[in-house]
Amino acid sequence: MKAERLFDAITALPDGLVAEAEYRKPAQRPTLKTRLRRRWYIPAVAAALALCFFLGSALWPDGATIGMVASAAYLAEYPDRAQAVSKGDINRENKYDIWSREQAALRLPEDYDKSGLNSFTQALVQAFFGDNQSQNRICSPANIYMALAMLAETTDADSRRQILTALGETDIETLRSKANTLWNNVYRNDGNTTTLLANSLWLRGDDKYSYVEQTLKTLAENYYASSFTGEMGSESYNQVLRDWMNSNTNDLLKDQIDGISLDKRTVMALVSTIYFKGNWSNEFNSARNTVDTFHSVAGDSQVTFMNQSTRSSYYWSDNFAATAKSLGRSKMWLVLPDEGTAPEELLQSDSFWSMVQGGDSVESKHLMVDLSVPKFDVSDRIDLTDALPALGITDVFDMYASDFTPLTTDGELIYVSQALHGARLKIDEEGAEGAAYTLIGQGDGSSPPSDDRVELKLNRPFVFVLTNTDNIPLFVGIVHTPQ
Amino acid sequence: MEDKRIIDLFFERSELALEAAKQKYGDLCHAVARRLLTLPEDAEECVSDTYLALWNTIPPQNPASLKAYICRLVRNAAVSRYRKNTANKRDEGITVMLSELSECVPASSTVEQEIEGIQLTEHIHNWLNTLSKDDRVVFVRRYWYGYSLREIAEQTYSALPALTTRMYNLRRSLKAYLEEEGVSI
Repeated sequence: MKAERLFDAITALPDGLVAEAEYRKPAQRPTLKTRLRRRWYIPAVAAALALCFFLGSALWPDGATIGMVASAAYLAEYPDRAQAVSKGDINRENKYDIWSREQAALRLPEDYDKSGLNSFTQALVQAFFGDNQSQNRICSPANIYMALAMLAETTDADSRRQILTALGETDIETLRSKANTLWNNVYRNDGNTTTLLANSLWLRGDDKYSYVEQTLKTLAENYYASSFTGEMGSESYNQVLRDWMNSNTNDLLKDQIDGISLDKRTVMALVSTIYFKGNWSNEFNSARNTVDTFHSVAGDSQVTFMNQSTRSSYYWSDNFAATAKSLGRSKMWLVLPDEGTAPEELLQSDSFWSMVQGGDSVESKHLMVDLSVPKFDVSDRIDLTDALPALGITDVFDMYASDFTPLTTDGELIYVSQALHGARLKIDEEGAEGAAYTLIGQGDGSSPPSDDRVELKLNRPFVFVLTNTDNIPLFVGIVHTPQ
Repeated sequence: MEDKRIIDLFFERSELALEAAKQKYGDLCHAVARRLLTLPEDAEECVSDTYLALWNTIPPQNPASLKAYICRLVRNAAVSRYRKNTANKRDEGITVMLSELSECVPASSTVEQEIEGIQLTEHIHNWLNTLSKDDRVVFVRRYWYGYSLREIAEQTYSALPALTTRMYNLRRSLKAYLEEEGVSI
């Protein structure tokens, strides 16, 4: 009997929940009960992304060489994390208890203010994606946020102030604390969900520059960033850097990363990566795949659609329809703009952002959704030196205005000479290896569904957003050409 | 005696362990068993089964919370007894609870994929975390501790009809959540 399975499953609920509900006779009648409803989902999908800031110097180095390829000035220690239970585990209940307690502890605290991150995400995506209406786009707001926070640590005066303002903070201590909480909230490597964050600094190993140890320590302890030194500009050092990046993005961005190199003038490279992988909570059945037409600005093409009918929440607003598909503890929003609305226009919509950032400003209904979504694999490479000035971050790019004294006091005229962001996400029936998923669509997206069943066919350009349990935007993108 | 000491005694295979556990949690075991099973003798046997299981499972188990662990064993023993007794439908407590829980069973999805028990627990745990603490507590009291609605109404100073409606909505919410997660059971 199915109810007995529920009974058994409830029996195995973790101790913390059971203890919380234990009845103890109260000393006096409670006066006020607050109720806060918060929804969270389980995610699964995979994706990867890398971000780099290369600090250059206007002065040429003296050409000194060092014997070693790279050595670690500071190695960050990652926090130990409990592993999720898997089939065949001994002592599963205990293991599950430990894991679930940790999951709860890693949630963002109730008083965590996400307004800075949320407004930064909106401004970033709007600046990055602009009004280009033909190319696939993708970026990772969480990754860029983390990289900019680290950049703020290495700067001072107006250089730092501009970054803090863009991230919605007023002081570095608050940003540091929030970035650390965010890192721990996003990072998952428990055998169930994989969201890997990795940060690093690549320093010059010659005598020309010495680096402020306290700053390297701060970056290691709060951002889990390791610092390496080596012969800047050498092919061997570049190769170590590329290997590190490929390793932390599971080779998903290999094509982009293999073209990256640091030249001799580089004073420091700051690299931040994110890699995400997971499975759909409810996988697609490949036997139901169909080949059909996808209509894009570039013309019609035949692509493979994955199809699924499940009871899900269907969301609609004045210019889009959407659904979210779970990927373990993450979820992927699939947002289909109405006919005549470009995906880029959606990114200007408050109701869109409210929905994906955990608000509830749009209409929704729980009903049978016939979802049809193309398999896709999108990647992008963005030059941040173009995009960040639009967010008010300018001084770090200007050798005469920048202030990198928290990093080093040895050189003058240090500035950000390169700033790259690369991202890729792909989805398939299982969801793994860079997956994003979108469900939305349907003939008249802005209207409420008329009955208990709705078709959502993503057969024209659409938007996807991959968020974690606490609605942190790991990836945002637009699909114009699925394959 | 501290739980840790009691567990140590189990590991030492000392019969004092059972005595200490009975002394500390015996009343709780009986209360849970009686809420689930109608006949006192069934409840008694259920508690006896629980002590036996306790002795047989620690070690190798080393529970973080002995109290929760014992209550889990009671529930497992009660549902086993219920299954034996199903023919005459005499266990009103658990029968009513299962009848209520059947409202939470998600509608079948097109892709049938029955999930493992531990995954189902995880889904329910996730769902509980979406609730306010008040809602979470009343749900767990009802479906984990087996308190009747009347008892919970008294404990929470709620009106019985309001609590009944609240429970109904919670069951619907769980069902919707499981469906949204694509869970088939």
